[in-house]
Amino acid sequence: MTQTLPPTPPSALASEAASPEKIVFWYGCNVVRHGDIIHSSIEILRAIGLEVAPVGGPSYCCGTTKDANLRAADGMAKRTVDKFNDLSATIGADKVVTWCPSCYRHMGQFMGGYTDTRFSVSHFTQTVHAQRERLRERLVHPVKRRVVLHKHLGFREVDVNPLVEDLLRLIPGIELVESEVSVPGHMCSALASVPEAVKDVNRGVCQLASEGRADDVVTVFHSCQRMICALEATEPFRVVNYATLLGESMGLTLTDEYKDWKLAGSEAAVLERIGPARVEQLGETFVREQLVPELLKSPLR
Amino acid sequence: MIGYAPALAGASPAAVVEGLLPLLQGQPGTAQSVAWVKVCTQSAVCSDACPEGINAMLMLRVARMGALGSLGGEPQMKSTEDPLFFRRIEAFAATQLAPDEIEQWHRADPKERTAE
Repeated sequence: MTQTLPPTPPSALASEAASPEKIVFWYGCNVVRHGDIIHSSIEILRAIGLEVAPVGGPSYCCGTTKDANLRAADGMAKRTVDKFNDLSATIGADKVVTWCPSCYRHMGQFMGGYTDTRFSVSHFTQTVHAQRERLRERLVHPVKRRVVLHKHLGFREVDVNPLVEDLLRLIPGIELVESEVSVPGHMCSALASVPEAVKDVNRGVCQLASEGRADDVVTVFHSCQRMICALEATEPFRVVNYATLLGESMGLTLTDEYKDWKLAGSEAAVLERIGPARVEQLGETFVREQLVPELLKSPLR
Repeated sequence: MIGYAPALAGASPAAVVEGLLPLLQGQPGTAQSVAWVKVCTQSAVCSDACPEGINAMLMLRVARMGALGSLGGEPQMKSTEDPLFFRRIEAFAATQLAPDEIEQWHRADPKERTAE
């Protein structure tokens, strides 16, 4: 999907050499439940010397959720590609760095196939891993945890698991439990339509942590964080995303509020933790009817 | 993932694939092929296994579109699409991002953006 650009004039090359590379950070939709992941990721990209233009949410949807309505999917894909082309022209960022593996896959399988893309696409893990020595300089706060990575085998486009394990090894104090266990799908949400598989995966996560005597189960993707974080209610381990751990080692103190809400245990406790100002802003009826049921749902076992 | 589909117990792999091919053209697939589509989680293990080098993962994805009725014909499986999906995304974003972040990162005209 990367297209050949016109040759860059030598004068422009000289000025670019002195300025940081600009990238578009396309974090996606569902990750917005975890502000800690988004903010940590942005700081990680800045730490490796990039100038970042974050984008996400519904207006940058890739359309992958619209398999039942291809006209809508097509419109979303074209609109989002147009925006990336505009950003490429406006801020000189001809590289889009994705967080979400579904967006990455949809861009490769569909969006890039019938649109005029004037940018390249790489995954966050690839971009950060390539500059990991720069990142290492910023990982100055020890995180003394014994951790095991929750791995999926389905993101064939990018071999993310070894990349994330390498990044975790950069964190001073981290003890990484080696594991060969990978579960189906590219992330946990891919399994949602097969509840028995979700149960097996969740039981496997608990077994993995137990056998590895892990303090933390580390997730690679946001949907895994969303779907297994509430295991903390009954299990002795913490569930944390690797970007948040890297951020912690950089000195960031960001909380996974979504997890906190999932662990609240009752509607009243969820509303209290979200806080009256945000509940009022969103509308209490909407929060009670549309957000609370998701937040009170326990992981399938 | 096939083990999670009772309808596929003892099925002939060739027959299941053959029954899936019409879905790619907006025609009805067999019950077993739709059962296969329903348990597909896009792990691409089938692509590795295919002796013909076919991207079976992509084939299943397109078959899913067919089974949902997107390629014409009657749907053979229910869509799990959530009509309030984006509303919920906006709501969670409002809890996790500052108003100026939402303005810049979600809503701003790309022609007026800057890198940070």
